[in-house]
Amino acid sequence: MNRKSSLAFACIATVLALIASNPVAAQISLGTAQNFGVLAGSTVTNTGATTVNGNVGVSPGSAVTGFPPGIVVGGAIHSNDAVAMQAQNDLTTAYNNIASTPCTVDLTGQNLGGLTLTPGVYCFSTSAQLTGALTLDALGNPNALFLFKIGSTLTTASGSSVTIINNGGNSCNKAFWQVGSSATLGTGTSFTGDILALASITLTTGSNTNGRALASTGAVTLDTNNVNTCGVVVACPIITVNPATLPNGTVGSAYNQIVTASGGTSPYTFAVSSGSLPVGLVLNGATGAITGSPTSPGTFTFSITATDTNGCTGTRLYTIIIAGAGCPAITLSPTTLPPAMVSTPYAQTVTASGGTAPYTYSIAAGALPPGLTLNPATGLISGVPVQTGLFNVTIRATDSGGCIGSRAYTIGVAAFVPPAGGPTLDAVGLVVLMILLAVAGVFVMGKLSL
Amino acid sequence: MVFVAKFCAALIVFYAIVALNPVNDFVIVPFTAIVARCAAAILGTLESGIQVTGTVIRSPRFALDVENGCNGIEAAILLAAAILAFPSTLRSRLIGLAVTGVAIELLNLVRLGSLFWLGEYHRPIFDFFHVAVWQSLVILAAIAMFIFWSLRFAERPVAASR
Repeated sequence: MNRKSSLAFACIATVLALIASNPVAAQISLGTAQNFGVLAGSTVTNTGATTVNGNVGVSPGSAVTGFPPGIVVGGAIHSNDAVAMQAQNDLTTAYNNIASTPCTVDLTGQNLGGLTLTPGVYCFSTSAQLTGALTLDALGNPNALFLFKIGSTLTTASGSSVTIINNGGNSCNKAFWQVGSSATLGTGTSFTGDILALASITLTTGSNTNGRALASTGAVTLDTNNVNTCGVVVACPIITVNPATLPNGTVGSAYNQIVTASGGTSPYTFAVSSGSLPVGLVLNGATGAITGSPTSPGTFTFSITATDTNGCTGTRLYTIIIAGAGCPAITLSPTTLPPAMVSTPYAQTVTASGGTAPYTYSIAAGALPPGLTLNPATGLISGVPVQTGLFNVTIRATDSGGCIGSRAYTIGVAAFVPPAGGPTLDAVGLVVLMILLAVAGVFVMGKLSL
Repeated sequence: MVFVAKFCAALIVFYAIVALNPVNDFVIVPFTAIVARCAAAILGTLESGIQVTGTVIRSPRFALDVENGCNGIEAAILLAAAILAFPSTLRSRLIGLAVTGVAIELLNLVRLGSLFWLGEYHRPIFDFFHVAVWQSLVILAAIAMFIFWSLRFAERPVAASR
């Protein structure tokens, strides 16, 4: 590196240090995903003598290959079992938590190589590239936190490194990399921090991480790596309130459902933390039972918060639709909606059945991804998404008789991926084929003595 | 040498035709969009979230633009020129053109599907398969089809018409 480059990097680092002068000291909770060194959505594939500290898991996919020769230390392989499924749920929560954290510094277009950063939230609206050494200076704060929010891909060049200095004696769980699509660590990269990728993670030959490789939907590909996790993340675990949705009810009919909590330390207590239950229903704070007989029709949106014995809490938003007496069951299809992509037109139709047409459609809870709208007459969800993330929305259908049904959806919006081209034959290929055809024709004619 | 001359002449004629703007606008471009939709339909049976806009196939993980050169037409043209240049009957030539044209396009759909899948889940090897593997396979398939056709359908009495 020449003197001008060194000076430029020093200036940038100084500016960044000044801008990010308020150290971020909060903690990120990974929930049960903290027990995983490697977690994937589709497959985990290993080649060579990889060592993973912590669990190796995959869900909703199930394929884990390459163990052995890879070895798992201090954990086990979880192939689409309940542990892996819960970890994926917790990963989604953690991913969204980081995604919703405001940026301290926008580093879009800036190569991370050669920079020294202080605790803060660093954002890239598109891809992030590391070529060389990145130094994270914790300023002696044992609770320092470095968050990197990357819109699309994270790529490191061969031999790159991420190092935490002045770490107060502990480098663990200080850096988190939220990656909007895929992360690829180049050969021999020495990486620090947990990678939370929406799609896939690839650790090429000999790259090592002092942190977890957690992929939400895609594959984790390993090749002779060391994946080290150094203990659990401090602070409360993620407490999940279940079930994800509550069934709708009918005026005058008995209603009896139980909400439960997991992830914390039993016993839990339950309370309605926002909104209100349907009139006529009550929540038992000790058991989580919602019982009673609804007395009024309508849509009721409320949150139930579970608190464990240590005071850690988890909350889930529910919507219960109470239909008038005599209403049929109205169902919405499809059961899930396909994911969307930023800057790419999206169009999916939700249709209702079971009631009396025509139906009108509305949003009962949550919100569509920014850029998408719901046509109340047709159920068409369309538009061009402008923001990545996972968005929970409950669509409600009302038939001509006023009877209602609903379904909760999660729409994932991924970062824009520029299209790759795929010529059948390039210029060289065309010339080769032309020559070979000419030669083949002459050869066959000679063989047949034509 | 007569075969080679006819082959080159046929190629020049074919490329002159496809270079015409009306042919490009009303034949090649719509055909390319159809190829993209067919490939997207096949991919859609295997995974959700596949969308096609014009000639661009997208999923949240990858996007592939089926451009003019990606539709298999150029390979089919080369094969067609060779078949037309080779001494045979009109009926045999028509059979050869139809069968090899369809075969090349079906192979191209498989190619597009596999490349899209590689782009989604194995991006580092996408270029290798795109540039090396699939080009080789298309070339080998075209040569094999032509040799098989010429050995099967060459009719010696027609040799006099060269």
